[in-house]
Amino acid sequence: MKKILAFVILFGLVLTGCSSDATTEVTTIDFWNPFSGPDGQVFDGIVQAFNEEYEGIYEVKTQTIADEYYEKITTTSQTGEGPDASIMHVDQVPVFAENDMIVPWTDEDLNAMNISTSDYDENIEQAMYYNNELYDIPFDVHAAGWYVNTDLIPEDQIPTSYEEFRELALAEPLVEDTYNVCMPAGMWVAYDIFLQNDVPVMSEDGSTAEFNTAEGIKAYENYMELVNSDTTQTPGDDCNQMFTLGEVGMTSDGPWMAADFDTGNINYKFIPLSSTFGEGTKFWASSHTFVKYNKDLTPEEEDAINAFVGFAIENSLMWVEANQIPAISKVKDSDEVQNDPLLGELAKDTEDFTFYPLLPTTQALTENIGVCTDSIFLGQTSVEDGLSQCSQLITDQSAIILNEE
Amino acid sequence: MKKSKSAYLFILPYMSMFLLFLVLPTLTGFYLSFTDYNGVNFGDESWVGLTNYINLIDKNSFYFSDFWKSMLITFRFCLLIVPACIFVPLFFATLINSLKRGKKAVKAMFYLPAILSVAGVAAVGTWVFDQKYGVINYVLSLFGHEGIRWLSDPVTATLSIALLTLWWSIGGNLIIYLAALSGINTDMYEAADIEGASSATKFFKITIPSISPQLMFTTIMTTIATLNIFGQSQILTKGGPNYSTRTMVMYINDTAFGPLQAAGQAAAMGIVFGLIIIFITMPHFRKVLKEI
Amino acid sequence: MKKKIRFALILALGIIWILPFFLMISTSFDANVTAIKWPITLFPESFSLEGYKEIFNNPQLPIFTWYFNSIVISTTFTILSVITFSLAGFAFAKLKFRGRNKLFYAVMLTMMIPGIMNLVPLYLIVYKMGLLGTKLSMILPGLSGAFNVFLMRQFFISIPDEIMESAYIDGASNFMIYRRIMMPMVKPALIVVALNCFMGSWNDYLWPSIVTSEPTQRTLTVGLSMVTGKYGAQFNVTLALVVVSIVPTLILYFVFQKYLLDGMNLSSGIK
Repeated sequence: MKKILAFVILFGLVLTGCSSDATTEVTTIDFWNPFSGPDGQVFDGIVQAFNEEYEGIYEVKTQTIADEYYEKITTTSQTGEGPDASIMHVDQVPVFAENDMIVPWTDEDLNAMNISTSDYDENIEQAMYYNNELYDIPFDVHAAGWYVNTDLIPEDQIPTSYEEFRELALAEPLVEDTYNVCMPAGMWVAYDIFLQNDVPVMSEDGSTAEFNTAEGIKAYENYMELVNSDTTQTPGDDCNQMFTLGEVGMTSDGPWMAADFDTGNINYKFIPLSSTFGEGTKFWASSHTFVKYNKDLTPEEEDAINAFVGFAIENSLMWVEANQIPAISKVKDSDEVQNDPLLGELAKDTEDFTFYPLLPTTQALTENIGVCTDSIFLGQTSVEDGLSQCSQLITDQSAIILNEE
Repeated sequence: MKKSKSAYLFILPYMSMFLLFLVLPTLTGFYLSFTDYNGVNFGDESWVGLTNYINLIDKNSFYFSDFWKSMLITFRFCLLIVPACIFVPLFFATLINSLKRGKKAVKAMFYLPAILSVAGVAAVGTWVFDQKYGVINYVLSLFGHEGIRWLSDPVTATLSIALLTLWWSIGGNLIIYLAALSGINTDMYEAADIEGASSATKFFKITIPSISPQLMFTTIMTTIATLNIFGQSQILTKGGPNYSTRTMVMYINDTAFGPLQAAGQAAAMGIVFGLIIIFITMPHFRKVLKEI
Repeated sequence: MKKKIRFALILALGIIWILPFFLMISTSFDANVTAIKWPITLFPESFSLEGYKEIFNNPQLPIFTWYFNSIVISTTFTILSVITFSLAGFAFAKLKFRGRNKLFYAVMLTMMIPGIMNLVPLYLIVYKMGLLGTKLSMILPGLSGAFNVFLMRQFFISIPDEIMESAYIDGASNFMIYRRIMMPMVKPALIVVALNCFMGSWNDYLWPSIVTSEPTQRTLTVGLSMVTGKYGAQFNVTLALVVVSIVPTLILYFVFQKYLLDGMNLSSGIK
């Protein structure tokens, strides 16, 4: 008995010493990403390509974190065990910047990457700054569009204006046992409703939610008219699932859903929101960006990071395979992207992409606006009550965040 | 029983681990509940005294209604889950014990879900409760019912999570009861049979008292586990719809790591919640301690 | 008659209970399932090991390393747990010492605080001890749990004191009583603790994912979580991953489950 105990403890201790790092001249950096879906394989490919090109000099060790991505980064960064650099959604930048967990990219960094801010469209460039410092470098830009099942909705029936869209949604199904339109819901839908109707969402200083106005209510009521119609789905049904099975003519989501839709045997096309809501309509977009963490890095490590980011951006055409639109103009506006069968139409509209404003209170908006408007969508609260409660919640949270400064 | 000095050696391994890895972090958390720690920079926090605690009883505070709402939601889960998780496995255990054949197979069937991790259980959950293709709605469709949107309505979402938790957890208590039942001296049953006692009498007068330590244990532990529900709720409904399934642990987690980054406040919530749990389970504690 | 009904009832319930489980396993052996099937079929339409081949042949998946790590960590943890918790449980149940009740009370109180609060402080402590990334960091903290000490204590309490009295009279020390008399009598409880600890450690996801940073340090659950989503709608691969991760626990269960119904032999041994 004692022998077993001793052996086990010894065994355990021996094993703890059993991780040794081979010392070489290769500079390694720890890079984290949240791409836990099929796009993860594409990103791994980019990392692999970089490691092959810089073999013996730099090595990027990438980790895909599936859940609680930002929590893990926060926890581990406190002991220096966090990543050296990572992908970060653009709306998370303010929080990490405020807490000094990420550091701005310098001009030298950009030079080493062979890029400059003028390589990006103005709206995208604006999303790189927080408090006038350049904290994030966008890798891609993504937004939602319309998926249209071309077997169910013939070419000439595809709406080209809001009136036509409304008619289609309210019309009897073109094909029996299907829905012409499956009304989307969620964070970006709420944001889009306000954007498209010129309803301000947050005040410029980020302290107050401003969508609880007569215009905001009217805009939302128009949306809910279509949601509550008998001709559209019952709220709570899974639009994407039904679309894959060929039961829905039109629904909205981002290009990343294409991989899932391909598993159904349907013919579809992906068109930008502007086709229904009019040219020049602004709509929600987000971006996966590169950020660098507040760690003591050696100059070689900094060089390695810059080399990797530069490489990834240079080769961001590879990212198209993950159904994402590269952010840098020379790739975004290239023929391959503009004529891509899936992304092409959306890529032409990137100048209307509207990112969440980067404010200390951005998180209060993004974390709540989807959840609290869901209750309106599901018919549990009226539009008036729902928008009132929602804006109050966001404003209250913002007050606390701003007080913490 | 003589007083024993060697007892301290017996508890030494456990107590050292306990102090280092449980008490120390808890005390740290307790300290943090009096600060404005943001979960990011340990060492940068400043003292705020009782503010975080006052926030939980001040009606005008931002945290007040959400905190107590989460409490209510959590207790609701408790009421739904705990009795079922005590009586159902007990029933199964006695039945299994009385079987002449097939004990092993039946035991395994009920226990196996318990070996899944939370993620696995949630995966099963999304499948079973899926509105279009879930198992439950499939069965309902055989009766002509159009199916229920399980996860979109607060009531059914709560029920779904409760049911899923039940499915998962029954195995754990089942094996404890089986182990306990196996230890009962059969002499007592034979004596009762001689006196002509009925099954019910035997059950209530012999079985239950004999396994009362384990019954006590499972009641307390199941209650605590239910009060701490996090994983299934998070993965299945993310606390929705409209925060109606956001349990206390989820809310604490959101407060600490969410947009508010109020880890100090979250720590205070944890302490208050813990105190309330202690208050509820205290009568049972006394019973447990009096057993010796 | 009644027995047959009882048996049928419990069999039916058992089948319902295990159905999702069974479907999961059977789908993992199906050839390239890419969409939710309707209606649900009990057995794979075309049997295939494709899902499993994908996992084991993928160079990006150091699955054997992960398996090894998990097995070492969980086994060590289980053995240490059974020893530590039974020693403490026995002392709290049967040995008299100063402050026993108060101490046990304190131990039970700590169970009431939601564990999530301890996450960050615990992480900092483990870091200060220099244990981040090591197997010890995934073994030692779990030994502080009050759950299994409580369980062991309850089982030891059920043993009549007379047994100890006669052993004392025979000149036995506490440790001898513990080792030769008490432990064999609570075998079912030990099995429960061993199963719980092994499963708890094996399935633990959040903590190992925070303390490990290198792929070679990771456990199976953490490693799989990073990979599962990358197979998107290929359910056979995803489910194969799940099946692969539950095999050791299943084996453990089937090996030890007969002890769960063994009697505690109260009437044998000590006279």
